[in-house]
Amino acid sequence: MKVYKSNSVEETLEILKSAPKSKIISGGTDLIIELRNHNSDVDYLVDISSIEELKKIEKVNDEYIIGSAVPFSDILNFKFPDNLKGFVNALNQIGSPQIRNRGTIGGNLANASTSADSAPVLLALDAKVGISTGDFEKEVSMTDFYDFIGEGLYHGIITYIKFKEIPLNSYLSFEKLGYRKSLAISKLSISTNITLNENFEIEKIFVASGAIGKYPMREYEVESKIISQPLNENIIQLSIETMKEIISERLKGRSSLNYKLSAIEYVLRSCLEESIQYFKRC
Amino acid sequence: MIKRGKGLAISYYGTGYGNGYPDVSNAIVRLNKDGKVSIFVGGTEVGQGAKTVFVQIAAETLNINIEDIILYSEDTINTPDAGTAAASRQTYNTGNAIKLACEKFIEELKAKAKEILNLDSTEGLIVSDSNVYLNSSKNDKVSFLEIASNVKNGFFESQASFTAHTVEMDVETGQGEPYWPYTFSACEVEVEVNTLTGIVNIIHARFAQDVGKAVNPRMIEGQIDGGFYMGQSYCLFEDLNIVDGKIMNNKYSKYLLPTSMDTIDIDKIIIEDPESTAPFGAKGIGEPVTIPVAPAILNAIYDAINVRINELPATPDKIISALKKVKSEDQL
Repeated sequence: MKVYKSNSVEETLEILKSAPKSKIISGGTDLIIELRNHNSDVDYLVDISSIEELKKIEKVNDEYIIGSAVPFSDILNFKFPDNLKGFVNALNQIGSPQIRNRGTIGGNLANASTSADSAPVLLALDAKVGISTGDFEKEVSMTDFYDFIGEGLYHGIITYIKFKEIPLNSYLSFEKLGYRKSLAISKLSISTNITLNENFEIEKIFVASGAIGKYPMREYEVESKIISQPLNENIIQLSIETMKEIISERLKGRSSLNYKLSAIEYVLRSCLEESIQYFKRC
Repeated sequence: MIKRGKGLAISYYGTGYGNGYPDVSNAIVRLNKDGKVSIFVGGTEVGQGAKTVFVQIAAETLNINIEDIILYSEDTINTPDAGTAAASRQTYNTGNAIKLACEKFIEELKAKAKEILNLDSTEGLIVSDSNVYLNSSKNDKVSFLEIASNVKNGFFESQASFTAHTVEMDVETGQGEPYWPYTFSACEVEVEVNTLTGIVNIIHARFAQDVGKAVNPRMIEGQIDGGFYMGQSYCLFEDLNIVDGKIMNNKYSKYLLPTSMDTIDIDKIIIEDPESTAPFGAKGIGEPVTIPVAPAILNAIYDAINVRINELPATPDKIISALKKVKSEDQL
């Protein structure tokens, strides 16, 4: 196996095109393990960890733009407002400090894991993902991202992830369930992004889940049931019941079904109650 | 959703191989040319602190500084067999062998000193700070270094062996002394159980350990910490997940151990009650510090949610299915 240290996106795309059995490596926190387990048929690794344009994190007007090769620790050093606490929480719970120092946000999305901790919050923020291939450059919405890349992103590279800041009457929360307090693979995760109007009614809502399907996904059914409703205990109950129906259908026949049916109640309730706490403070 | 419970467990545990099985430790003590003392013993350090305890027991018996002792262990050419670092037996068995060898060595030193000092008896000779001197006349003294320069080859040594005395139990009557000595432990934990996620959070833990005599209190505290975490780990985390004889959780991403985030400070209590057959009364605690932890946690879980978990590890999914089972039985 050979490793190319690439200096630009253009160079990376050229190498990917000319060498079919090639993979991109940045932090390598997933890929190295995959290679050690001999699960990958790879001749060339293209190291993008030195490409400056992929390592920038900035706020331009009302938008956060994060280069795909930015490690989680660097993102966490960036100052985010209180109502984006869910984003910070999600990133803080990824692996361990060592993994957060190496692992990148682009990598977390590119391997399309259903347990990827950053995915539900990015879905709930309606984030956009910049993708370049030799043939085109495209900005894909997170909601279309997994369908777009299918089983993996071949001959292309994620260049950035961007999302808009949310107004003060909005709150993003995230709750993850792992079997231990650190270095835990997510068994179940939920992120909600709720905007309330002055009557304490839900004006806008995004609900996203992790580890209850093939990919992290938006839960439109829950969103449509609780939009325009007041954010209260009844709505929490309704959300939980709806999520339980979704999980029963989606995980039918799986050994994890009963456990996740129980755990979703805690995870989803935590997100919604944390949001209520925020709105009460405002 | 969050239920609290307290659990207590006590245990007693026999040191050594037991049941009359030959349980022997050997040790050699040697005076070196430079007046320092070497201890040769085949007791293995596996992180439990055996090397430190061996040197402490030798220094205490010989009444010399630990800096003047050179320990050789885990070297099968040079060290006599001291049995396995198992069965919580090294402090007791090998400690006894070292103490006996050091006591013989003292008698040898006194005999050499008697010759050098032209005394008619070893009566009244005292060994202290790498010197042998006459108690009634402290100027009549000879250092270990001087003794070494007076002996042939420049060194001499003493050897001793210790065998733990146990007998096989009578299969008919159940009588006998299958182990000696025993150590006693008590563990208390308080947990929070999330009845929706099945996650058990230990919020308080206290552990009391009978040690006979604490040779090294800090290391005992370290062993209590380590033993507790191992107990917590096999009670709540470590799951081989064997399916058709195959270990499914064959990597550390699946075979979970607690991280430092999952552990808590343990309130540690050292109980000293010297054991008459032990070196300075000290007993080994390697295994005892793990034994009552899982029963205490399981009792605490029972206290919290009124459900008995009978299979380890008590992982979150097992706790949830046990709760669901009780719930559905209640509805019948």
